[in-house]
Amino acid sequence: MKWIPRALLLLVLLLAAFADQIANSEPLLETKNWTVSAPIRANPTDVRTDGRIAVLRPPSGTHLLGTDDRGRDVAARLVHGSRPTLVIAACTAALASLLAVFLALVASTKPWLDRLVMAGCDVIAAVPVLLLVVIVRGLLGGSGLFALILFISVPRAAGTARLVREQLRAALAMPYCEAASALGLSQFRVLWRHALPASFSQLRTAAALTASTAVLAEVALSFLGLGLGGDTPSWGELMRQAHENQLAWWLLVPAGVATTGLAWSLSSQFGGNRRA
Amino acid sequence: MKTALAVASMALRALGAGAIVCLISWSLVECAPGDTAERAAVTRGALAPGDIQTSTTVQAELIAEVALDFDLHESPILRVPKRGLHAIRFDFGRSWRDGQSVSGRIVSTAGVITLVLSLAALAIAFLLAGIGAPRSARCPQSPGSQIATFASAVVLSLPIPWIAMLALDVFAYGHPLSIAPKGGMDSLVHSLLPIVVLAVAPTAVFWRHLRQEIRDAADAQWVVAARARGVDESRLWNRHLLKLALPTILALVPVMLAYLLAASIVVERVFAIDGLGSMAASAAQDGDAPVLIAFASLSAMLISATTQAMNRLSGVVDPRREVQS
Repeated sequence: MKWIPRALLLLVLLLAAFADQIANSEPLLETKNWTVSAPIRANPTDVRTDGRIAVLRPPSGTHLLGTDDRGRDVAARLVHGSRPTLVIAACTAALASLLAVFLALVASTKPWLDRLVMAGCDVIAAVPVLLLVVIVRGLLGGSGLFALILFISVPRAAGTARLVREQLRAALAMPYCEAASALGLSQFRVLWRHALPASFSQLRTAAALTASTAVLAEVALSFLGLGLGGDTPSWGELMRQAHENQLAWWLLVPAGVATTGLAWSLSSQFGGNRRA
Repeated sequence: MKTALAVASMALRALGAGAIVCLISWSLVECAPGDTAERAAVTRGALAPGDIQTSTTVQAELIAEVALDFDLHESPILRVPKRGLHAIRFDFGRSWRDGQSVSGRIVSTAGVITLVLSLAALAIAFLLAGIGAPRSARCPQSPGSQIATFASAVVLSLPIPWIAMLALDVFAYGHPLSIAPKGGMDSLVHSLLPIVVLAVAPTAVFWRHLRQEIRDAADAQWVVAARARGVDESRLWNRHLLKLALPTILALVPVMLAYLLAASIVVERVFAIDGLGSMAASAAQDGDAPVLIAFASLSAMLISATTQAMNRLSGVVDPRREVQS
C-alpha cells in the first residue's frame, strides 16, 4: 500500500511539470496533415469558448470538469493550480528546514542562547500555522508567492527547530562527537560535520509534514481570499468559487480531492502519519 | 483560599500573555511598510489605495484626521506600550473599518459564539475518542480498528473549507441528505453541523494519542495483577486504562483549542456565522489591525488559561504528576 501515496505525489508532480502540455488551447504540434492537441483544450485564463462566455456549466464534452463563474475551464485551472501549490509546498519545506537548522545550530552554541531561542520557538510553534498567517498577513499586508512562503515557513521552522535541537543534543552526547571535540575541532565544525547529519531523518520527516501543512494552509488562505490573488489558478480559489456559487460540485469536488490526495501523500511519504 | 489564589494566578498569567501578544502585534503594525495612519485611512475608506487624483494636501489632512480619530497621532514608542496596557483592561480600541468598539463586539457576540462552537467541538471529540480508542486499543487488528487508523490519517489531510462545504452540501442542502440545519446560531441544534466539522480533526488526534497511550499502559504489571484478581475486561479497558491515559489528552486540549480557533476562521465563513473567526477573516482582508490584534490577544489569553487549567486537571486525574511537578 506504500506505493499509493508515492504514485499520487508523482502524478501531481507530472501534472505540474507538464501543465502547459496537458491543458492548452493552442495545438502542441501542427503539420500540414495533422495536429497534436493537448488533452484539455483550454487555457486556465481563457473565458470564452467558441467566442461565447459560458459561466458555471457542469462537466460536458467541451469542458471535462465544467466551467467556473467567469467561464474558465475548471480542468485547466485544476492542472495549472498544481504548480503554485507544489512550489509553495517545496519552497516552504526547504525554507523552514534551513531556518530550523540555523536556529538549532545557534541554540546549540551557548546555554543562554538555547533557552532564549527554544522559548521563542515554543511560543511560535504552539500557534497553528493558519491562525498565525492570517494575523501576520493582515497586520503586515503583503501578498504574492514569496510573502506566502515566508509566512508559512516561520511557524513551521519554529516547530522543526525543537526537533533538530533535540537530535543535535543527543548526537553531541555520543562518543564520536566527544572524540571530535577532544581532537581539537571547533564547536561549529563538530556541530556541522558530525552532529547535524544525525538529525537528517527527523528533518526529512518534518519537511514532509511542513510541505503537507503548506498545501492545506495555502488552500485555506486562497479560500479566504488571502492567497496568491489575481488570476493565478489555485485549488483554494476553486473552493472559494464553489462557496460563492451554491456549492457547485464540479468546482468543489476535484479541488478537494486533489488537495487531500497531495496533503496525504506528502505527510505519509516519510512516515509522517506513523509518527503522528 | 488556595483555589482562589490559583485561579487569580492563572488569570494574571493569561492577561500577561494577552498583553505581550498585543505589544508584539502592535510593534508588527508599526514595522509594516508605509505609515500606520495612512493604512488606517485606507481601511476606513477615507483614502483609496494608490489614490493619485486627490491632492497631497487633502490626503495629508485626511490622514491627520483619521490619526486623531484612532489615537495614531502620538509617537509609536509611546502608543505601543499604551495599547499593551489597554489590552490588560480588555480595551482593544476601535475598529479601523467601522469605528465600533472592538471589545464590545467581541464580548457581546462574536467571542461567545466562537467559544461555544470550540468548546462543543472539543467535548464531542473528547467523547468520541473516549468511546472509540479503548475498543480499538483492545482489538488493534480488527477491521474496524484498521479502518479507523487509516481514516484518522486521511482526516488530518482534509482541507477545512472542503470538509465544511461537503458537510453543508451533503447533510443540509439535500445532496443526497437533508437531515441537519443549514447553520446559524439561534440554538446549539442549528449550529450542529459547524460543531461536527470543527470536531473532525480533534477527534482523529485524540483518538490516535489515546489509543497509543492505552496500548502502552496495557503492558504494565498492574494490568496483569488486575486480571489475575478477576477484574472485568471491559471495566479494565474502559475505566482503569482510559483514566491512566487521560492526562495525555488533557495536555493536548490547549493545542486543539488553538487549532479550533484557527479552523473557526474558515468554518464560520462557510456557515456564515458572525463569530470571532469570521471577524478575523474580514479584518485580515481589510487590514483592520485593532480587530486582528484583539483576536490574537484573546487567543493567547485563552490558550494560556487552558494550558494552566489542564496542567492542574492532570494533577487531579493522576496525582503522581502533581507529586513529580
